[in-house]
Parts: sequence; structure tokens; C-alpha cells
Amino acid sequence: MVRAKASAAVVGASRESSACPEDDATENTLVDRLRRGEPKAVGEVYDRHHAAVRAFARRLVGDESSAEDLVHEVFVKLPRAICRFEGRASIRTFLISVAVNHARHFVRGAARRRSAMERYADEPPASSPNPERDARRSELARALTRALDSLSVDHRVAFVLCEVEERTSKEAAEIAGVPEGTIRSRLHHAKKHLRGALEAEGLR
Amino acid sequence: MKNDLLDEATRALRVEGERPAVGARFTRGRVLASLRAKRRRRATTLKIVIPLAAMLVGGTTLAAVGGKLPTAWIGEKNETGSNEEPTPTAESTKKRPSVTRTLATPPAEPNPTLSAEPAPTPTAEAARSIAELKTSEPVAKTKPLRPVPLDVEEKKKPPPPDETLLLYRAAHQAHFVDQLPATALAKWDEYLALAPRGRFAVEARYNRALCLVRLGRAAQARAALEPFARGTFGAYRRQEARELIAALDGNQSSKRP
Repeated sequence: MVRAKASAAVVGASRESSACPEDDATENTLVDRLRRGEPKAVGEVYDRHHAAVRAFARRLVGDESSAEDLVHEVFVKLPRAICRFEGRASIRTFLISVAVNHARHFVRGAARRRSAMERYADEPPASSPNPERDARRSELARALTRALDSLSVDHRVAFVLCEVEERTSKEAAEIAGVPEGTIRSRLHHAKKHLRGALEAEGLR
Repeated sequence: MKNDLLDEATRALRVEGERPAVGARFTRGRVLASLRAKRRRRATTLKIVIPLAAMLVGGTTLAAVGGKLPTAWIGEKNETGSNEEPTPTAESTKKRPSVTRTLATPPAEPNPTLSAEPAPTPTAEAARSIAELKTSEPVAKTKPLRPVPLDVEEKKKPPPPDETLLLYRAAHQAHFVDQLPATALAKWDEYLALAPRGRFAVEARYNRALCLVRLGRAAQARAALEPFARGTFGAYRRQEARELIAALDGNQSSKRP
């Protein structure tokens, strides 16, 4: 079961902002402009929401360049996809759902690339002020990404939305376009599988 | 323990996703460039495809109105049945009596070659319109009109299609059903005067020539058949016209001595 998430501060960029009437009005105007096919509107939507879309894309795809490609794809498809936007969710949620719809191809590509990189072991080491902590974090993140590669895209989406992005199962269901129960079930199976996969990696 | 590890890995992945994006501005530029390129492609397509389509439609319409469409196409549009040009096969020549025999027969006798003419099936509406025409002033009694020469560029605006269609039907009735060459000739002339480049103009000219043949007006018939024999209308009735002209020449030379 998906529990209510408390640590929203960590993922501030990807969380839905509280509904403010002014923001709503601006968003509605933006949506109208997008529907009219105004080119500048896409740029404005990008400036407002690219961080959230990119964060989601990185977590889902697990690869920097593939994530950038997915972000590009989402915003290029936006002018056409906006006709499906009904205004029930925020435009950020809508963008994430567009990313989910286009993620399959990018996830597979990234997984293939990761597998090839691991074979040749030429992953560049990260440089940071706290190398030990960062190294541990990177190691865990990479291990989880590898484990996610063995999941189906649907299970992966459910896990990333609910666990990594800390969205409620209702939100995740809206984004993935499936019933809430399906999301919960996918999440349960994904977590079970990932536990086994991480254990098999020999991490402690 | 296992759960802790998964939670820790999840947190790690969450934080990794939050790293500042180096390529954010570059991706923004890429998105806008892609959209611009897309719009440009669409505009170019519209600039090319729409004028081409308009030219095609306009040209076809103009050609159809001006009667300049290829004869085969006109035939296809006009005829409800086969639109193939009858080629002189062994079977068809066997069925068709010789041209000299056709000329020797009295004018009232129907010409077998005419059976292959485009003949719109008379519907109830057509029959009614023909009856209306019959009750009105007889067309045959009016002064016969001269056919318009082909070479002269016709600038007259074509009359409404219904009127020409009714005239065509009346001429067709007189030619094929009533088998009255004189009446048919007058009506073909009338039709051609109204619609010299109409949809049925080519067929009307040929039928008019046949009427002249039947009426024994050899010189006029030859003049009317010559454009067909020369191939002015493509392959349409070219062979038949040549045979008829040859037959007319043969008839005349046999009469001379």
C-alpha cells in the first residue's frame, strides 16, 4: 500500500505546488496559448516545469542523456498533446503523463546503454566535496537503476512515481492512466522484485 | 534490513535526480528549434501541396468545362457501361455489316455501328422530359443550325447543363429510337450550337456525321467525318470514320461513270 509521503521537501521540484488562484489563472492562460499554437508558450511551459519533468525522467530512465532526450520529446510533443489536457490535473502532472507515455523507448535504450557501459566498465567517477557519501549514494542509485532495468516499464513507472517521487497512488494512477488498484499492485510487485535484486547485488 | 536498503537506494535515486541539469538550456534551445523546424516543414508542405492540388483540381475542372478532357475520359464519365473504344476485332467485323452495305441500306434502317454509341439509359425522368419536348414546338421544324467549326475558339458561355442534356436526349431519341435521320440531324445541330464544347459534343458530332451519311449528303458527311479520321479526337471513331469516308468515296466513284 502506498503510504502518505511526508518528506516532500526533498523532492520539491517534482512535487505539485499548492494551488494558488494566480498560478491557476496563469496556467489556464498558458494552456489557452498552447492550444492556439503560440510558439512562445512552449518556452514558458518549459521554463516553469522542466526541472520536474527532468527529475522524473532521470529517475525513470536512469541516464542523463536519455533523460534529456525524453524531456525534449515531451516538450516537442506538447503542442499536439495539449488537446488531450482536460484541466482536471495540473499541467505539470500532464507533462509527467506525457513523459510516461513516451518513456518506453527511452527506458529500453538507456538500459541497453547501461548494460554495455558496465561490460566495458568505463563509467566516469563523480568528483564532489564529500566523496565517500556521494560515492555510496551513487552506488546505491546505480544499483537501484540496474535493478529497475529488470522490471517492466509499467512496474518501473509505478515504483518511480510512488516511491522515488513520493506521489500518492491516486496521482500516480492519474499520470499512468490506470486504476489506483493497479498502481498499488504494480508497486507491491516492483518492491518485492527490487528487494531481491538489491540483495543479489550484494549491497549492505 | 532489506527494506532499509531499498529505502536508502530509493532516497539515493531521488537525490540523484535532483542534481542541477547542465543541459537544461541546451535542451530548451533544442525543443524550440525542433518546433520551429516542424512549423517550417508544415508550412513548406502546405505551400507546395495546396497549390499543386488546386492546380490539379482547377485544371481538371477547366478541361471538363471546356470539353478538352481526353475523349476516353469523357467517354468514361458519360457512359454508364463499358468505356472502352471498340477495336475492330474479327468478331466485331463479322457482326458489323460492311460499310458499303450500310450505305446501300435505306436511310430509315438503323446503322449497326450506332448500336455501340454511348446511349444513356432512358429513365422515367428522361422519358418525361422527352415527352415534354415533344409536346412543345417541334425542334425539327425550326431552321437547321449550322455546326460550329472546330477551329474557331468558342468564347460563348456554356448554357446551363440541364438544357443541353435535354437537347442531347431529344437528339438521341430521334437518332436511335425513332430513327429519323433528318430530325436527328436538326437536333444534333441544335445541341452543337448550344454546347459546341459540351460534354457530349464529340459524340454529337459523330452522330451528326452519321445522319448526313444516311441522308445521302456525302460531301457534308465527308467534311464532318474528316476530323475523326484525322485523329482530332484521338482514337475515338477514327477507324470507323476512315472506313465511312472510304465507302463514301467508293460510292461516288461508282456513281460517276
